[in-house]
Amino acid sequence: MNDTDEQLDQTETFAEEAGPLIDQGFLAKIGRLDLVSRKILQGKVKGEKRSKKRGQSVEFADHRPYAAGDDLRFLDWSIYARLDQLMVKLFLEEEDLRVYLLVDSSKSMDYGRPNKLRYSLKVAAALGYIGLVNMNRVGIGTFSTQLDRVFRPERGRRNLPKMISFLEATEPAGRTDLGQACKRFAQEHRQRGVVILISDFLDRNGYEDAVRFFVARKMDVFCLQVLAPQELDPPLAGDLKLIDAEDGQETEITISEPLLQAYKQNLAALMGGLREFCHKRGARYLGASTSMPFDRLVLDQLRLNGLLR
Amino acid sequence: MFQFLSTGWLLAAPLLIGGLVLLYFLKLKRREVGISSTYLWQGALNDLSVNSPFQRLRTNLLLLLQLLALILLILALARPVAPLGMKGTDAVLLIDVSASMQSTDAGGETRFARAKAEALKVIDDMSFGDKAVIVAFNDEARVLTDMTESKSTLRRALEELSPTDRGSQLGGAIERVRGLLSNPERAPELFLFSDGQVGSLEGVSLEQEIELHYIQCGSSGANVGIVSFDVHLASGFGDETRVFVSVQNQGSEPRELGVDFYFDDQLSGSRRIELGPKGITSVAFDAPLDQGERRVRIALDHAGSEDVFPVDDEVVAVLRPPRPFNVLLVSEGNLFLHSALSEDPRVQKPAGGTIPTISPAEFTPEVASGFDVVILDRFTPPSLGPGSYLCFGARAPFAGLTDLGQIEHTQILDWDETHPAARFVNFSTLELPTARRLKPRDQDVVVVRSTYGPLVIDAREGDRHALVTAFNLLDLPLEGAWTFDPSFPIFLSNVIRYLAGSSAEVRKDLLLPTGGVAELSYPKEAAKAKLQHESGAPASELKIVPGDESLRVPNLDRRGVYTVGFLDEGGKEVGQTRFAVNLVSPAESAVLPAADIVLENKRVSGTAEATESNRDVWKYIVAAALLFVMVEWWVYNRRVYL
Repeated sequence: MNDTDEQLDQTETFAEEAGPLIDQGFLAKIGRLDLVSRKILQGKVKGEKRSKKRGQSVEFADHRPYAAGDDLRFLDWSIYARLDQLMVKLFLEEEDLRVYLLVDSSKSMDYGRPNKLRYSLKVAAALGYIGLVNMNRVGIGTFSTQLDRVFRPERGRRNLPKMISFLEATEPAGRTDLGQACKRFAQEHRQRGVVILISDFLDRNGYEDAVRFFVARKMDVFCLQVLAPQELDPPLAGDLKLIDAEDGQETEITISEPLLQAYKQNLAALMGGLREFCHKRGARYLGASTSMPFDRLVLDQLRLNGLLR
Repeated sequence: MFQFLSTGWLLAAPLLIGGLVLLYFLKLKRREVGISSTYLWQGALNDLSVNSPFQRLRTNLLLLLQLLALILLILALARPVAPLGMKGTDAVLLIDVSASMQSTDAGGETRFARAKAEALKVIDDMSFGDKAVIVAFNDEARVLTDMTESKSTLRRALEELSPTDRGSQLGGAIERVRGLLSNPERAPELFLFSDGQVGSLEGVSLEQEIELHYIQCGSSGANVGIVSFDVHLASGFGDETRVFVSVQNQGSEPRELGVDFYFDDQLSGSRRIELGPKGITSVAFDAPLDQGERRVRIALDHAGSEDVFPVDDEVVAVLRPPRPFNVLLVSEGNLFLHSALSEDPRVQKPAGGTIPTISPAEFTPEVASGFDVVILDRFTPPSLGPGSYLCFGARAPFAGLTDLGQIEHTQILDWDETHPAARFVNFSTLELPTARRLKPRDQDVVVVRSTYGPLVIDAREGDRHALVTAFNLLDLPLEGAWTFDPSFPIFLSNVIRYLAGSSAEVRKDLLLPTGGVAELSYPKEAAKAKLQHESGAPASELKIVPGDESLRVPNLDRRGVYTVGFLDEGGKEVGQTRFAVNLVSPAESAVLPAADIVLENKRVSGTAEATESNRDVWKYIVAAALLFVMVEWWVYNRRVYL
């Protein structure tokens, strides 16, 4: 079997790559990270961040001139002493952030080396952990044709084992239908929050509806497109019959340079289109190849993209 | 336009191409590959099918390349050749079969074998309509076939050809083949397969339209060989015979070698010689010929050093002792002559040990014919037939040689010691009360001179040869006479040997060069003869035409000893003779191949191979096919199309 055949033989990789989704060493590395939302989000329960420093779960944000009726407790007396002006201290209220992780578990995700689904679950586990330890409510959904399984939003580190076992129970199945699954998830989770949509976005029906549902509900949407290196640069040659992992559709091709070029152009158009669509709607986008080490994605790329800090 | 030598492959082409196409479709079971989604691929396929006018071709590019490669291979197998012109060619394959072609150069292949192989290539490369003829030449040319298109005939003739031990003359061969190339409708070509050692080409020219190809066979000139060979009777009265050879080093390195002398196949002498580059030296051996036929052989011992040409390393001779001299005495009676002749062992005494004697009255030129020497004692005949004569006290009847009268008490002044007749003879004791006074002609040689003039004269006229002595033996004083001196029989012996000359020398007349003609006398009852070479090759039969003086044996191609058995009508052997044939040719021993053949009006450089490289084009087609196969491989692996 030559290299090409080896690279093409991707069918069992999800099962083959079984192992802990996340290890203790890595948890220690990401423990100090936090999820960031670009929108100030209202929550029902106060968060616990920075409580050591300030208590009351408040964070200084700005000053504004005193107006009648303002709580005198927030007057900044030191300003008054220096400037002889009444200024009110404004605080950012620390709210608990809702973090929704939506992971595509369709059969198309069970491809590539490293395997896309496995990679996606690891990212979800890491982000979920960061959410949990920062007292955010973390909710998870896995989907294919529809929303398959849901992990109800939970807070706190104690829910970590539950979350990990939820993620580990995920099996690849079904076709991708981003629109249906996201619509359902959006209906079930009405609280605003950060929606992290992890998928390959290889959906014949398009990704637009999915993003639109969340944006409409003023969610902070982050699209993480996970692709295998074998999809970015297919190691194919000769006369082939391609079989679609989701619907078994067969496509006969004879590999040629123009065909490869056309494929790559299509892929670039898909990725570029998604990025542009997100930008226009205030959502964020990151494309990731599973060839990139998973820790580098979490520690570098997601921080650069402002999802983590 | 190309011509094809093996058209069978072209006929098979549709089958092979059909087979390939069939195989291609059978083979095209696409490999199944599972991928995440065909979504993007379908899009790419749609894009391509919209954009590319060559999309159909693209899918079959591999097949196309394979077909091209196959077609080219079929074309190559059909052996296409680029003909030299539109006319069919008439080719003469002139093959050198001279001795030097037996040289073995580096590689162990003889030049002749090489020439044969190259000639075979030319025959194989003949296109439809081409004709050829094979001509073998050494010092004469033999046309072996007709001008024919039949390759099998040509091959057979070539197969039967073998080299000879003869010299080489290209000039004559070119004259011979010129007539074969005179058809104006055809393109004439002359292929010369030779080492270029082909004798003098002075004055030899070739028509401009005849294309001459010189296929040079051989490379080395390292040869030491015998370049001359002769046999002489040693001076003196013994039966010693001296055998001489000259050995020459044709190479550019100094050489040291042995020269071995075999007498009746027994090694009886050896010399060590040293030869510088191109050096030559002579070696002599004595052969004691007493009676009967002896075989003498001289061979070079190279002691392991390189010698590409073995043919000139050995010479052989069949020697017989000199036959007795036939002497006729014309005299009224002369005791001195009778007794001196009787004592000479070389003089034939047929009946009762006496010398044939006739009186002057009985003498006619016819009677005297058939004798080696006729002694005229005190008798001058009016005319003489062809032959040799010794005259005592008389002159030979040659115009201008005149007798001026009698002289008395003459003294010997001197004599020519270098003259064969005067060798070892002391004339000082010769006292002459009376003698004749002779006036020699300008061309006559005076052997002995007296106070009154010449006393012994060596004179010739036409085919008559006479030694004239001006004194009469019977006039000599009895006391202390010269006739009782040992000088007298010696003188007589010298004169007889001198006059008898080569006709009664050692029998080396049957020492022939290769290519020579042997002329053999045969017993009267012989009706045919059987010629057998010592190598054991099959004997050939020779017819004897009654009335011929001798049996001529031409075409002596091989060196060595031939035996001729004479047979009568009933096939019974009635006689036998042997003769030796040798290659002693400095030109043939110089085996370094000539780089060019230089004719009066042409100069052609030698090539190592017979076929011109651009004539046969299959190599280029195979190269193109290989290129297509490589492109196909590249396209398959690199996924690059058009």
